[in-house]
Amino acid sequence: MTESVRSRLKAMLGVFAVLTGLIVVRLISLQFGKDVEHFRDIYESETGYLVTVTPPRGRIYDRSGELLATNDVKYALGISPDFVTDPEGLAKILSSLLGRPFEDMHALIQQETPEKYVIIQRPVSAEIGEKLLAMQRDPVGPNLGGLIVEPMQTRVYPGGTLASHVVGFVGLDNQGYAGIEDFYNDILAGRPVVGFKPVVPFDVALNPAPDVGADLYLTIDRDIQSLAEQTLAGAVKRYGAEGGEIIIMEPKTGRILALAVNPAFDPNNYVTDPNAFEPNPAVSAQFEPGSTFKVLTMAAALQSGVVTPETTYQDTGYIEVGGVGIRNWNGAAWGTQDMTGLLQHSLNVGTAWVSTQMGPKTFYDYMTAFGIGQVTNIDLSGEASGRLKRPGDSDWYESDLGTNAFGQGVATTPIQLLTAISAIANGGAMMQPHLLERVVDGDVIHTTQPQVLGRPISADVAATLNNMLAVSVEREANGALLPGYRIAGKTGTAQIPIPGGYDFQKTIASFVGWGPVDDPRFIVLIKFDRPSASIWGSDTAAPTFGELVKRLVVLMDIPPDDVRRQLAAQTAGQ
Amino acid sequence: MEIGFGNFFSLNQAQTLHFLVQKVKSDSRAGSWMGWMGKPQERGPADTAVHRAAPPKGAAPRAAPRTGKNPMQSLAQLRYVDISRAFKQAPWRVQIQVIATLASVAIVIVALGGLYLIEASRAATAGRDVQSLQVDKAELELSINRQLALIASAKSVARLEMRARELGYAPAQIGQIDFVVVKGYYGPQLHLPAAVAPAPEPELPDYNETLGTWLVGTLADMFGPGGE
Repeated sequence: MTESVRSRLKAMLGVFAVLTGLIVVRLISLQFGKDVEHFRDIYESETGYLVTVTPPRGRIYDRSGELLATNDVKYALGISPDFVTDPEGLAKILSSLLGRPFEDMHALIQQETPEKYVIIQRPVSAEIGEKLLAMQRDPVGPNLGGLIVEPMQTRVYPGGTLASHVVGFVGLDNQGYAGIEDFYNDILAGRPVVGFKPVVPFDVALNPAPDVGADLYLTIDRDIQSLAEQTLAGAVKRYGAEGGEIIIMEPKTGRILALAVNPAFDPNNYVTDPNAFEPNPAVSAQFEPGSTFKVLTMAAALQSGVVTPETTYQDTGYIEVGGVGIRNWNGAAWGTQDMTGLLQHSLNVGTAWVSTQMGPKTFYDYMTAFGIGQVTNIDLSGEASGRLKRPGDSDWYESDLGTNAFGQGVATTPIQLLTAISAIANGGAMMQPHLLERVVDGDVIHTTQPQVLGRPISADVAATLNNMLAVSVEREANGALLPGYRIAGKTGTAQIPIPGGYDFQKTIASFVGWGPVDDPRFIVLIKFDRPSASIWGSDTAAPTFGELVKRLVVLMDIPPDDVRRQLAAQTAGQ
Repeated sequence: MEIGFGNFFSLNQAQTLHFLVQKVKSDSRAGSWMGWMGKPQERGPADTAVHRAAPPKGAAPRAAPRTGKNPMQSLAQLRYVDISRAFKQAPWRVQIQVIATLASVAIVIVALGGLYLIEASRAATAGRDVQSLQVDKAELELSINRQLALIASAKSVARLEMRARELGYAPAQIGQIDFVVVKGYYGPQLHLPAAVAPAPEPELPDYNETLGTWLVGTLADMFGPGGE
């Protein structure tokens, strides 16, 4: 080998070595340099796509495990205009399945648009979606090129209108908009995740795992709820009311067994149902409670020692408080009355007299202790606080002490009034009203524990007042009675405030009752808005209560009082 | 008698001995035989037996030197190590070594490549299966949701009540109910007992086996300690 060949070889070797070195340097820079993200993005865009995985929404059950809300499948129909090969055929099939005019469908498919995806309709029923998918899979089926049929999760409510104001509804964006669906949306919806989904089998990975929504078990009993709704619907119709509510609660625990609102709505068709977007009046409607409020006034008077059941006063049919004259509901004078008679005849004059005996500070302190003018924090969205004016407020007058005592000039919500009065049924303890029984999140179960909201009165006072109210029901509100069971309760007929005064033609009729008195298992509030058949709670709400509890004791397996005592004696003897 | 050297060539005994003697002699004169493979500057002008055996250009071929001794006697004088070294350093022997080495490397590369391809194809097949199963799982979940919704609709209060009335049932009244004491029974348990958590399923390991880990694992299985 000559020297020149050798030197040429050396030169070539050098050139190759330099080139190799450059390649190595470039490789290292590509692997670890500042452009790593750029090249990774290019790789990922070519070999996969970003996908948002939305977890299935948690289901809602009643306390017995019956489904109140669950998930179903519907489909979203769309087209990729660039890939539609037979617009006429596609328009014909879609118009026949969707029931839309062929011309509209054809125009939609043929429209000039830069979009890669055009929505045809969403949602469509599972039947239509599955029919179209079957056509697409059929090798000899019609030409559906360009049609995109995508499954989408939707919410369904098997009971239809049942408990609609409790459960609420969910929009197409998977967001709860009323009731439990709204209040516990974060728990039910879970958390969607965005992840990279490779399409190359070699790189395949498990789908991104979202935080799945938890299932909720409510305190609602489906059968009791149905009973309440049927009873309410019948009564509203019978008494010509504009609407109404029934709330059934366990006074010992605060569990809401039923919360019926009329008119209800169908959460499966919330778009077309105007009632779906109305707030839940059971927690948001503020009204002057009227005579049911006398229970609280009497409780405060008994607890403060101002009166006893035997205390009497002379009812002249008129009393002036703060310069304002107050009369009884019938304008009559009832003569000498004790406190039980006052409740039995629902005397405004006597109640105003009692409040003046207490004085404003004592009276309002007790009303505050009962939670009047405050939200109960029930687990439903949109709860209103009501209004309790107090001395010192710019719009409080001395006369308010007299009118507030019998439930005028004070605003409460149905759930607030029921919670306050439940303290009397439950030995003085006011329980936190709640709808959530437990959360089942995979293997983890969170159970709601009953909580005492307050103890505005003692057990002795509660027992005394229980007895007084049971007597007054037996003597006056016969319609609310249930043979075999001792029931306590109070009717209410409240005038409705309007600008400049009160509407004397329309009322809010109500009844709050509970039983059995010696072992209360339920407390029920019934309220009718502007009943036309009769303005009085004793004529409308009280009989409705009697009709309701007749079935309620069966559903709750509550034996008549004498049977229950016999059974208790037998159990004790065993 | 002939001594075989594979397919390359063969020598009779006398030629072989003569060749070896010449090698040893020239080695003692001109240094190591290895010189022909070494650097040019380390080699002398005629440093190999091959070179010396080749006559200069234009010269008459030189007769093989004769020592006048019996070749068998010369052979006896040779040390065993010299003969062994001569065989080892033969050019055809070096060629065979190079070829064998390259062939071995090629075989190993092909084997590794083959193993890699097998593993890669298995991984791709598994990946495709996973994709298919994921699609199946999504479809099954949709189907389950659908069935649950249908069952719930079929069990709705309104439907059950209507069906019960059709069958002649009516709501029970309180007077139609007999209450009895059942020892140890405390009424209907409306509240569901706490759900019993299912036993956790064994978690499948991620499919992240590389060729290296597969090899190590296989070898460990083959040669690792057996028994329990």
